[in-house]
Amino acid sequence: METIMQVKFLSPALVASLIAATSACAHAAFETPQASGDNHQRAVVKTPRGWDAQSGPAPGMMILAASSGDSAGHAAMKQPNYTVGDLLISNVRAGATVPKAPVAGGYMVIRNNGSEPDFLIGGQAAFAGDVQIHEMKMQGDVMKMRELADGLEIPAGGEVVLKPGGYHVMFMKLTEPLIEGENRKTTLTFKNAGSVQVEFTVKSRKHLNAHDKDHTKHGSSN
Amino acid sequence: MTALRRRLGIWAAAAALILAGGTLWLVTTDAPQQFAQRVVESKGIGQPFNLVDHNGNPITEKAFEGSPTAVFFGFTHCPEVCPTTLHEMASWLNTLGPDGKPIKAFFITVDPDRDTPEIMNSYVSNFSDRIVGITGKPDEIAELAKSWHVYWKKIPLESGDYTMDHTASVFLIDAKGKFKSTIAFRENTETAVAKLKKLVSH
Repeated sequence: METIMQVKFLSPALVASLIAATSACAHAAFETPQASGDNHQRAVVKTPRGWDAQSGPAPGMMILAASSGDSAGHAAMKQPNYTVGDLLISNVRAGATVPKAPVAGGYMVIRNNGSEPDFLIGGQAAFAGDVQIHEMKMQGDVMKMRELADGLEIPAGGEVVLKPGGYHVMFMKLTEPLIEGENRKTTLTFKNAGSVQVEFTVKSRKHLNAHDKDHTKHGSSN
Repeated sequence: MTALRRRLGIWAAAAALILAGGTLWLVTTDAPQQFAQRVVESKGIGQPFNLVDHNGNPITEKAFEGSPTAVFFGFTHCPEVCPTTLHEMASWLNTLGPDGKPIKAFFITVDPDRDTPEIMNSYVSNFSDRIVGITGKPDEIAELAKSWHVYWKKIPLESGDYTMDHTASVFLIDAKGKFKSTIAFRENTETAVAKLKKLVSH
């Protein structure tokens, strides 16, 4: 009887801990933030848990309004800004692709003038089969990419910069190349503010990155 | 009382297991690239292979012999690092002009499941006719990447699709097949060109 009791006590606890331990090993590397009951209570942008705990914040993860003037900068002035709810979206641009390239990255600056956080959760575009929100990060010399399945948080009163080397809109299953100088309509969807149609101005890689160099450190051991 | 103590013991054991698992995860996630860097610095890289170039022709390690060589591992479903690097590789070669003529450049996919020779051809040819795309059987690609100490990992997406994490540096090998240095992602153009010049002069 005692043995049976022991087994009864043992198995749920051990099984639970084993599952926790093994799933941490197996899934941690590609985990993204999970829906947490009430997202409004989160005050800061969460980095996907898959990133290594030792590394610092992702490049350009979040730049406060006061310090983001350069990247929002004069390039944004030539392009329209968009508003939806309390959000102001500027410098909306995408990287030009070569023909047959299956994916492309879209970038922008999103300012939240409201008192509640919002989340960029996805979008729709005629030129792409799927529109996701991703974060790229260099870890040493390894490029890592994570889907923000829970969305990208735009904190209340804050600003988030989507740029090469960091957060981006990931256009997948492209049906046509993105050609420099052209514009591509996309509907962006926010959790609270809803949807808004924006136009991504397609830029060459050189021009896409021009405003980001000051913010991104490139590791080189050579 | 004994039961309670036993129960506490079990929970302590469970907590220890979770901690151990977490520590193992932390150690293993950070290990590959650091390990790779150490090995690359201390030993040679690469091994014989039988793969397919972007024209569908067989290609072996002999393609790397006798010429200074630049090798980049990536994949075509890559929004930034790979197109940027391929674009830069093309621009380095253009900048070098006749000086860079001996250099051979290769783009090896770490995603051979999707990157067929046809796809590699239509992709790579947009950047430069100097860069040769390499694909092949997934297990052989895996062996080759391993021998170059390249880190790569398939990352599932919610849509059922996947993306890849991978080492983003360009490896430079001299004409004798000896590893010389790497060019990091988005490294300054002048530095990159200088490294290639040095590679040719060896």
